[in-house]
Amino acid sequence: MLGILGMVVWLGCIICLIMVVIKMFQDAGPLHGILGIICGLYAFIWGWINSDRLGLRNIMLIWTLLIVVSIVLGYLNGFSYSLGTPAVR
Amino acid sequence: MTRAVLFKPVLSTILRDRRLSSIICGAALLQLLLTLIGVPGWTCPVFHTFGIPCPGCGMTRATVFLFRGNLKEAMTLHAFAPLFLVALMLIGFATLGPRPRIERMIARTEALERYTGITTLLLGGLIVYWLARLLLLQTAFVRLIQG
Repeated sequence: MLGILGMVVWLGCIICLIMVVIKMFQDAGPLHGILGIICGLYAFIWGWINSDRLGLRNIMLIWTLLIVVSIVLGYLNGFSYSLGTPAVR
Repeated sequence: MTRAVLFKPVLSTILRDRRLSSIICGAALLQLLLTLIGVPGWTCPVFHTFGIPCPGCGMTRATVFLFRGNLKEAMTLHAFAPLFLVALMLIGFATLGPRPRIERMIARTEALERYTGITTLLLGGLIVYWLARLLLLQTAFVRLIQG
């Protein structure tokens, strides 16, 4: 159950990241967009700083909530719920 | 892409925005501190969703190794960690340094970015480095990132 919830939370996080990165490409240019892909934390900070100006407030609130849930789930489940790990072929 | 796009300053834009640079500096220091004491901080959504490390994965731990003076481990984990540390130091100085010196530093950084396109080169280099590790050393790369 926690595993499925974890997957949903991470999928939500990645959707929020993609939406913010798209805004970064449009508003700040391609280099900032690439930086947002490379460093999710930068995209998160940039999103909050520009949330009012670009109408990202709801997305950022959802993303923040999902991060809090992911941290709680991580502590409950020992960070073992993520979709990808391990992905070694 | 035109020259204007490729040579557009990125770091100096961040340095010029004192609010952005102070939040980045605080968040990065918090992330490094949490990693140093073994508490999970910011986790990469790309890695957790797809199981594929993003180009920045491993950077925090590599920087922690740098702080500990272990250059070899740091370079094994992420070769761009020293550059990340330099950028972080610049951002830290832009947050806390005296105003006239900050203005001079930002002007120099902007000129460097505009004339050399160093930001584009480094971001491109980071993508190539990530692709090389992902395509040629995938198993080792994922294990390395997983710790």
